[in-house]
Amino acid sequence: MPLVRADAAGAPAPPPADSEFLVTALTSQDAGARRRAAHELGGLAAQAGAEAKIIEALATQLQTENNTAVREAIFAALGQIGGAHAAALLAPLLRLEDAGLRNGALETLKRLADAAVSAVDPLLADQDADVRLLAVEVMRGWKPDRAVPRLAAILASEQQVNVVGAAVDVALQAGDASLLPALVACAARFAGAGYVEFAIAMAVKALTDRSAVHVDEP
Amino acid sequence: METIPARILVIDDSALVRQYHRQILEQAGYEVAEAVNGMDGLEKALEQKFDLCVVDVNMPVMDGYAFLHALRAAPAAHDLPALMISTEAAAADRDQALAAGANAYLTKPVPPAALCAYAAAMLGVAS
Amino acid sequence: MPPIKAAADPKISEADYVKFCDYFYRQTGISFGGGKQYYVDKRLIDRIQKTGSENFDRYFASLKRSDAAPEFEKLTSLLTVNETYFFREDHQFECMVLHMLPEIVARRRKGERFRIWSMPCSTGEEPYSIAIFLLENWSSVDDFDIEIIGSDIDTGALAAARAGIYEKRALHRLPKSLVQRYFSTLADDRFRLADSLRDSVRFTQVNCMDAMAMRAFANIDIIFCRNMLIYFDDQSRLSTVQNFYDCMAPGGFICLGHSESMSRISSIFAPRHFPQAMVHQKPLGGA
Repeated sequence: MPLVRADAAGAPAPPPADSEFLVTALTSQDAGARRRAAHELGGLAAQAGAEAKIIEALATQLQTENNTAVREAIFAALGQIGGAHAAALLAPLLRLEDAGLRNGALETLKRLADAAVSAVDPLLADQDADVRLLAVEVMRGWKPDRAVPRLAAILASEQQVNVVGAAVDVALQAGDASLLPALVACAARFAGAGYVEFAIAMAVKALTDRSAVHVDEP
Repeated sequence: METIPARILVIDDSALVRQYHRQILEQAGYEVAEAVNGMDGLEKALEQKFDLCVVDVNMPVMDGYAFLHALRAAPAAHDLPALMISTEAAAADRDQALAAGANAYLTKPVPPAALCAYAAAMLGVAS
Repeated sequence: MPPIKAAADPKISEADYVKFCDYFYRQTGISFGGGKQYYVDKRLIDRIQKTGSENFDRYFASLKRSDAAPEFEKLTSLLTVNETYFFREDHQFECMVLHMLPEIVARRRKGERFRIWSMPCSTGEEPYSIAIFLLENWSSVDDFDIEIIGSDIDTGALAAARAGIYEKRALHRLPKSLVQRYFSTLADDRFRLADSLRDSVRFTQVNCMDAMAMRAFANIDIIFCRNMLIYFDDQSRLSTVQNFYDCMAPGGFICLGHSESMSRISSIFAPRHFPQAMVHQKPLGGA
């Protein structure tokens, strides 16, 4: 019978490394070692009560990390640890030229939900429109009572068309009918503006219908 | 003479943006499929034959640049023409896109006429 | 003496539901959306009554005590869905035999071992299906040692898997010849898997969100993880597939359910498109 049953899972699991060892391993020359270290640190810190040192070590490594799998492990670890400190260290990554780091930070900040509010709120008024746009995207992860007033303010006063487009998209997802007046007023400001006009029309229809507001994923 | 419509893959994490581009391209006579991020786009490009892809930059899991890098390395789909779309308007961003493997680059918001003109040109169709 | 009134069903408030879901998610990585409230409440009420707890608050407090593991397992059993049958989505097994295994064994010598992990395995239909499919369809099946492991968080399901007794409906996709070859019929129209097959699969309890527990699994060549991640939220999905990546041998494959998509979770696996299925592979250079 070619099917064999091992009584154990194979080699017994190696004992968990301590955090100091893992923090050092984060800067190893070997990408596999860096990835495993980030992965373990996420589990370690999430259990032990997030240690500032671990969060900082992970965030620091991101600044120079080029390997996709390692980046993903670091972002996953920071998301697993959670909290305002992790959020504060992730928020500045939204400014970076590197699309992978920018978007990894964005997705992780979304997963941090309420913990990211204090770090991301100021970015909604940032002078860089691309940063404002990403900050709006983070709001997808926020409770409606927090997101809705901010969306209303952006719809009322934001000048940059792509930021407005993002705000309309998030408003549609938030599904709060109280945003209807702000959307309608915004439509007047951006009449003829192609995508924004289309997006507002879709959002107004969806919120007016009071039906499920999640646009179908393919 | 009946021609088979060209198939265009629209890759963007925003369902609204995908819908908007779909409408424009379908109206111009193309067949459109959608993907929600670079990884989804890569999988679809491996599974099905497309004539053009329109790819956003900022997406979760796999951004537009990583998508182009993986696409150009995939034997089954490496020569798929790619129109990259981004909010960033600096010349350096266009250069970066072309260096990453995009065939053309447009900044958002993309005027419908421009999208159709670029698609037609990239598909080798007289516009 | 006035008739004793039956105690009213305990009530679960919206706040209680949210509190419970948050706790359950942190323990297991499984999240329930708003639409599942009736489903969850019904099962909570069942356990509250069966344990003789006065109300939700008392029951919830009891779950967090150090001796609560058996009750937590019972509750998890009730809450996790166990709908499965033999040869479900067998196009992936075809893909395994025609494409994945040939690639894996090209890097192995005859007689060497490789490992297939069914996780979650529920009541065993999947790992046993893999075993049967290999014995029936893989021409090289005698050339290698094949280790099949089935894991699940639900100990009740695991116990059933080890027992290997199934209702007729679980066998509906098996040709009669295979039923005859691998099962014996029991009195009450149920079927019992042959001992040789039952003995060849190892079943273990694992919480895939527990990175430490997952470290016991290494050098896995193929993982079947079907219809589990759909219940998880984004962070849990990401943590889980990263745990899987760590368990896999370089070049190993992972197969999700046909309606699931690795593309919404992670980019560290390379998509491999085969005629029968899209599967994902840990890069050969991946450590």
